[in-house]
Amino acid sequence: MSLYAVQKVLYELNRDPQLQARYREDPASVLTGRDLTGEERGALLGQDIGLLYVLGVNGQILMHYAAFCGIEWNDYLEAMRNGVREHGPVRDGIYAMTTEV
Amino acid sequence: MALVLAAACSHAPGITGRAGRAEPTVRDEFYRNLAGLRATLEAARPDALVVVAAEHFANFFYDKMPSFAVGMSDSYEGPIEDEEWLAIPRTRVPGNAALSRRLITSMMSTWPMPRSGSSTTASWCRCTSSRRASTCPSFR
Repeated sequence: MSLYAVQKVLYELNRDPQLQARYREDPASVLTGRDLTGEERGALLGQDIGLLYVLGVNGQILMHYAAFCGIEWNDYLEAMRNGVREHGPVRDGIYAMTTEV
Repeated sequence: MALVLAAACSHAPGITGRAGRAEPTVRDEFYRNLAGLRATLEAARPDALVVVAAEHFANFFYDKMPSFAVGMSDSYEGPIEDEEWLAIPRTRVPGNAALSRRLITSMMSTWPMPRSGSSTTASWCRCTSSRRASTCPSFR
């Protein structure tokens, strides 16, 4: 259920300006009480698009979060490529990679 | 009420957000056809538009993801996406809750409902925090 919790945070962030303001002010407070691993928490606090992609976040959620973070489209695409280079194949979700990359 | 026009259109965010990156001849032809669709739509003089579109986590998450939902509100606000990213400023467009209710009532009474065991799984959900829809039937 951990990936579910990661995506839930991002889904809420994508659609709630008040939560976005709180995240900008104090990102850790938005994650309090969430069922997240240390790795997931770090990715969310560091706006680590590459790792979030590898963890399995759906692109329809991730691309809007990247836009919210001010990440330009080409940089967003490159961040996902770099995520796979650094962390290995996508582990979970609908983009899970079951073959070698 | 008569159906005066049915049309379909691509909905990729790059159409507005990243138009400058498309191959110019392909892009220009696309926009020419889009303008034609607009002219055809205006010439048909519809009283109301029934827009069918993808959802993309705008209103629903994995815990409640209906196969389809019908908005029933007097207005709709959007886009839900980042305005700069999509290059479409957030705006509010008029809805027609009475027409929505008529459509929903008809759908609920005439379409085969998915069933689970002996009881129907169709339910109503009120999307009070929604930007795009206010009340919708949810079929799971």
